[in-house]
Amino acid sequence: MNIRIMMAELRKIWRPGMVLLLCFLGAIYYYLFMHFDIWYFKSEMFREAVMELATGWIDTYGTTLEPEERLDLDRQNAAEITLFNQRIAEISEAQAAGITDYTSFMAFHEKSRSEAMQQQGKVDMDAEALIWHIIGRTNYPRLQGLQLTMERYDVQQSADYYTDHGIEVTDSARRKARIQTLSTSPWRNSILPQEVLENTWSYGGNLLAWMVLSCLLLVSPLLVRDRMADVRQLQWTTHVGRRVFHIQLAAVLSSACILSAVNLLVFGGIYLTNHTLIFRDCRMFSFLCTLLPWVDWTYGQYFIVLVLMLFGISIAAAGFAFLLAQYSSHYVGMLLKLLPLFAALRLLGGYLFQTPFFFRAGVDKLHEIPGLEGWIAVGLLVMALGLCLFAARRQRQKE
Amino acid sequence: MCLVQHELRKLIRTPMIWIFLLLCLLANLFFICTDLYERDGFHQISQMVKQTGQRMGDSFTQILYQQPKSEWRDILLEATVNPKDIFEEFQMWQLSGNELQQSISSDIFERWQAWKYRLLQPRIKQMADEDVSLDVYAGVLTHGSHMRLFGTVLRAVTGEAACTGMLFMLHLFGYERLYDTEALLATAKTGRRICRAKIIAGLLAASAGYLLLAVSTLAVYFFLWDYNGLWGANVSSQFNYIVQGLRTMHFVTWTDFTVAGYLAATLALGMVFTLVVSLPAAAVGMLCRNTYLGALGLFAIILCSLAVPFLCADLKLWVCYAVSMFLPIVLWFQQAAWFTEQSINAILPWQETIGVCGNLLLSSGICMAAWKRYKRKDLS
Repeated sequence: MNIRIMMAELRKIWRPGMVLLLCFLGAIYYYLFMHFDIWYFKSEMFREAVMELATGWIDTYGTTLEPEERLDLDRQNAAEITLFNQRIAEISEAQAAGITDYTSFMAFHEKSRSEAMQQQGKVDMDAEALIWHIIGRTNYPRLQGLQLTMERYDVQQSADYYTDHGIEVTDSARRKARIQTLSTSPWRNSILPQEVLENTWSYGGNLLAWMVLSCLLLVSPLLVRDRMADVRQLQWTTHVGRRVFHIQLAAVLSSACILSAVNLLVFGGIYLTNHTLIFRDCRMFSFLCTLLPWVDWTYGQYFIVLVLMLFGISIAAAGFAFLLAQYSSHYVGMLLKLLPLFAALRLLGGYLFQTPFFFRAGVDKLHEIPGLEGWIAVGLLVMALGLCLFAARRQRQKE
Repeated sequence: MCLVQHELRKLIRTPMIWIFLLLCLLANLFFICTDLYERDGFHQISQMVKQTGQRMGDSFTQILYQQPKSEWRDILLEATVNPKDIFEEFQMWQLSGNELQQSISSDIFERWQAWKYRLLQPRIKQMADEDVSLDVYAGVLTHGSHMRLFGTVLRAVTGEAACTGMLFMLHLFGYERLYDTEALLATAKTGRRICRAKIIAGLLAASAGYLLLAVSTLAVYFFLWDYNGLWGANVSSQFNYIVQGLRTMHFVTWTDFTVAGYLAATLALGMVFTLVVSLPAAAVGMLCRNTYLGALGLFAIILCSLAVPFLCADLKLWVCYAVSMFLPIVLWFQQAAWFTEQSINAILPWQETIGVCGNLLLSSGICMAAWKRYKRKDLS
């Protein structure tokens, strides 16, 4: 019998018009805010080059680049320079400007930059056009990615690098201890480009905003509609009595779970086309990443934790919406509560997905809690569920 | 008038509206208080500029030398010694010749832009003659402070007031349905002409909401940031600029604006903008039986409007892109660059003003059409 009422409540939530509208809004939202993270990650040539190089190293060397394997990069660099020289020989405009090889190209590039700086940002448009023409037709992005990698690797091999550069005088004891641990970590040679993490955070932050918004829009009207139709007392007269509130809460939370799962499947599936999970076995502490992590997870484990955070915060949002909706006697009143709730969760989501589980700027005590972002997500979920259960209990005692 | 008062009372007696306005104010305070970097430097510059005046030159530098020695005095001295009038040798390619403009391959769009820059040429000459760029404004802190006030704080105020205005209208038009008195009201002497009172009340409430948010937010802002020495500064100072794409562009306005004048103009246009977005909400309220669906519909329209310029740019439909720059949501996004030439985001001088006024006419037309439809509609 309760199942029947539960299904009835679910039917009230999952109206076909609402589902269609959410699909439409989701498509527009994706195009506006998430599509860039997919398209730019795959099409920006420098990023593409770094990903190509890193993927190649994963295939060849595994998840880490050991010192003996580092020597191969010198050979790779030489080969790339040879390829660059071959390609630039085929560009007539470059030949006409006297750029015949990598060395002359770098000299030309550097000269153009310093002239622009001396003339307060006024760039020689012809020189700039030629530089980008050459970059687009050679393996320069790959070469630059490779050389930056070699530089970072060499610099960070020193045992004192992290203790000399990572520790500030004002750092807490906990932070210093973590940096000491990392400086002797066997995983410092992990191959995980920072671009992968940044892309994950950016997409994750935008996805969180959509998941929260869609949950709020879907579940909020349920209680308000009942209150406007004045059926609450009538519902109490049924055989489930005041437990109808519990059933509605269960319907709201399960709807939020279903919607969040669908959102994660759809938009998470789109995100996987970025092939970032190639790095799933790479440790988060990487010589390719300038940020220092609080945790020793692999990227795959980290990815799962972020997905769980997304899921948890969406359910928490639905819980808060359910709580606020019971105090709304009309839709506008409900919207006046939902807008600040969405704004607050969006801001919080932006903070959580800035650099989650990595060191943050600022030395206040809050930033010294390892995994603070995870704790906040768990706290939100516990608070939302706790308050909902409390509200449900209060319903039973209400006159 | 009596009816308008009754309608206003419906809004005033809704506690959640006041709580919402308070939350908006708290949000604005959050934006202000989380960006207090270099406030000390800003105060010092403002105090120094009160003594020196705004116009850079020999007397400016002499008086500045006499100010108490401090880090910010030295920074200001370094930035203002031997000032150059940037508009004297200004070349139009610095505005029109950037990569953004050059990436657009459309004859009609280029012709419109060329026409706009031809109109701008005399203005540049006037700015050069009046040495407008020699106003120091806030020195090296100009761009940050200008964007903080006009790009963050005032844009937040305008956005919040617009949301509030829309919700006011939806509430007013859904009120009778909520209390099942719609049919009863329709039989009264005023009948469906109550909509006129509702629209007037909604617009008055939206304006009041905007003023309340703007005044309270700016009171806090100017309490924290000392603008005493800066009100008379020309906003086209050489230290002020806009970032378009990856380029910085000079802050070239279509007429002379002091900081005070620019603030007043922005506030006035923001008020009209609030009315522009409130009127379609009235139309939706009249036509849509379900207030929630009406609100979702408005949200969908806003989101689609935001997507239109990006879609036009992706599909290289540059004429459509130019037209989409008149959409209200796009005008709101461009608030930090109001009254400037706005690069590829504008094809007309004073585009934001023309856009807002044009949208006001369009919104009024939509509202009128909705009312005519409402008058013929059965309520049951």
